[in-house]
Amino acid sequence: MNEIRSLEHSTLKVPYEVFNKRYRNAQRVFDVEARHVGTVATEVDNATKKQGVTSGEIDTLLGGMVEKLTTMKRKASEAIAEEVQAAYVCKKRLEHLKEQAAALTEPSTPQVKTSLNQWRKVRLDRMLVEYFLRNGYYDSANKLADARGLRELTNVDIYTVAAEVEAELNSQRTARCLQWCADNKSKLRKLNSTMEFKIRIQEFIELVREDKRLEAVKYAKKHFSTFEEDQLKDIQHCMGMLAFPKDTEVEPYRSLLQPGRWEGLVKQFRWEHSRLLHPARLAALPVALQLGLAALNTPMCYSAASRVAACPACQPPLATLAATLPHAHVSHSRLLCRISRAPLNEHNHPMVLPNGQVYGEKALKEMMKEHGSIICPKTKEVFCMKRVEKVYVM
Amino acid sequence: MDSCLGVEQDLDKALSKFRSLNDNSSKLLQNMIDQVEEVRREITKYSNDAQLSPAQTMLINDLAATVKTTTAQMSTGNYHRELHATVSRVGKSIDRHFIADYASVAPKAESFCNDVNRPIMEQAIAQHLYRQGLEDVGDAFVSEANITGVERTCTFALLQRCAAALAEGDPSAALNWAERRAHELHNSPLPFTLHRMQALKLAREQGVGAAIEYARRQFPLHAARHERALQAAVCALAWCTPGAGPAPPIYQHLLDPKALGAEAAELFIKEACGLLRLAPLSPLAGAVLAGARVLPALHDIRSKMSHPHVIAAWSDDELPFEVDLGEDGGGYHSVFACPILRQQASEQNPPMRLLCGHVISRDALNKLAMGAKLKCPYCPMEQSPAEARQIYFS
Repeated sequence: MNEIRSLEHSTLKVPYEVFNKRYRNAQRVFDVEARHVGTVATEVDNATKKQGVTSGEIDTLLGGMVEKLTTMKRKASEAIAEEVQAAYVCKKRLEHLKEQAAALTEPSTPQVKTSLNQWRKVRLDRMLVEYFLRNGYYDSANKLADARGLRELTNVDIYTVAAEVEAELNSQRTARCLQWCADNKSKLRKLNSTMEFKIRIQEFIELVREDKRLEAVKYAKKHFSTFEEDQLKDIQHCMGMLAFPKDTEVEPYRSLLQPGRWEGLVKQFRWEHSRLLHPARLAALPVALQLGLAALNTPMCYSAASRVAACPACQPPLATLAATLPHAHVSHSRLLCRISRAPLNEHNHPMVLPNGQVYGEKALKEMMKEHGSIICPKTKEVFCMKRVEKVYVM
Repeated sequence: MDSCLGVEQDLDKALSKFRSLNDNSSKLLQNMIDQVEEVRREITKYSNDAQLSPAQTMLINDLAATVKTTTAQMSTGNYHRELHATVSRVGKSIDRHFIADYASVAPKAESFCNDVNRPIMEQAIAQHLYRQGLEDVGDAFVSEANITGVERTCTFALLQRCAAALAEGDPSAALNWAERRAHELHNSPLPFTLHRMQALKLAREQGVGAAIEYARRQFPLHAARHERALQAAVCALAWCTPGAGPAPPIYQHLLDPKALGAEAAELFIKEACGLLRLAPLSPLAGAVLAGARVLPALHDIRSKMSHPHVIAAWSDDELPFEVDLGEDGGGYHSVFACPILRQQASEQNPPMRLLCGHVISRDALNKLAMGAKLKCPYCPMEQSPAEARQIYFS
């Protein structure tokens, strides 16, 4: 298995969902337009059966038919163009993924390595954009995507609708959110979403807040009658609220009337929206971050004396997160010289100083050449080369 | 690679079907429009008020019937509707070739998104953005996510700007930097790489004469260390003149400013970070890189271990195996794993050097000791356990 297979499902699946949606839209266009043309054709048919119909009348009817056919032609080709465009987004991302796959199979020349590193940088940026989008940081996501030229490889454009809905909800308007619910009705039902129901309740609450209680009852009659069994309790709470003043201290009515409920709606919308688009529960970034920290985590990461500047698990702020994770599993020693950061092996023997500190043979010899003695970088003690001994690590 | 190709095949099929459908539907509809127009001309040839002849009536009835059936066919028959299978095959192909729920192997990732840990993770993200020199993205993110305590400027951002200029093909900023630190860089390939890039840039922009002039001034210093590369660079100038044919493959890389820039940028970051003792990757980037390497291995092992007993191993929240993070993906610390116990040494169980030089952990030492006698497990030497000394790898 490789990194692409493990990490890039949503990179392709999200634009595919758009493609699929466009397909269904296009089918609807075909249905509607064909029906229009069919009606005109029937009219023409009926007109010819009438007695004494003139060619002029038929001509106008036929003109109407031409008009309908032209509209159908235009709309059909527009709809198909949209489908093709959505498919091209998938294609574009696939090309990007193939770049890395190709680099992995080629022999490792420096050029290939450079391009692979470049690709990994882009991947991190894509992960960041995705994380931003899924957490509602739309401005940051747009800015990052623009700065790195990643609009096509990320879902910023797909999320513009979500950003608008959230902005509306934040200013306590529900129209766009209801519109979104209607647009994705069948999928939301499949996911057992309560989004629309929650919005309806909120609208009811707003009516109560404005003391339009009769209207609230009318609203409830219209919208609450069709809801599911397990929502009955919420509806009862709502109806109970009618009996209380709007500044009541009685629970649960007090919390229903709290303005904080709107924030909850924004959060729920964000969650439902990403649930609709992404099959994976979490964005790729926290997953990769957690696994990476777990793999890098060593017992040495926590004590100030043995921290390494380059190690992500040692440095704040990530060190705090790494501390909550288990250590990586290691069954074979993997030693590095603390002076040169070069690996210790048969070519660069690990050597122990009399104070117990281990360094690489090469670095110690270098130090010998430069200073004539060995100064332990850790304790600053001075030794001569004779007292340095080999260490055998199996 | 296979996964990409698998999806690509289905996607290409869908694309070509949609394109031919588009052509076909336009042609079909245009055809009908033409027919209707022709009939209109036919019936209005003489006058607008004439009665229709039986032949004309039949003609119009036929026309209406064809239009009706054709459009109905386009909407409900095997036309656009038929493509549903093709579209959904793309989706299924994505699901089959990529792993949808990558998060299931990282049970702790969820905890990174809770209210305690998320700010820490987002701090690391902001740090990463500033480090990359993306100040406005960082600013936008800091304000959207309410992050505190991240320094806006850092040394690394300066290096990053030099590297970005290099990647764009402009070595002047990096050359300036290297000039100032010439005495520290005398063992590094960086100055030569930068000069070579500048010479080839001059050759492209101001002609080969200027490049040779520059090479005469700068190259001699590096002739001893980079003889072959120097020869290649000067040879490559032969293909910089206008009208020169395509270069042979060994020089193509030198003549591609983009590839050369990317490679120089990478080398610059590596050398400069080594010099300033900075980490070449931000903590976030380093951890994510490692995580991306772990994930496929986890998926791999999960797919192999579906036995119920084995599944229980997942509840134990340690990485269940060792992952090789590659040369640039991990290995920040020296890790000593006891060769007897096959587990990582820790503060409670530190590495001990026996008199003969072999290293085992303290727990192993205590287990192997028979009273005051200990035989080294690796060589015939007998000694007292008290003679073993603790050593420090980090």
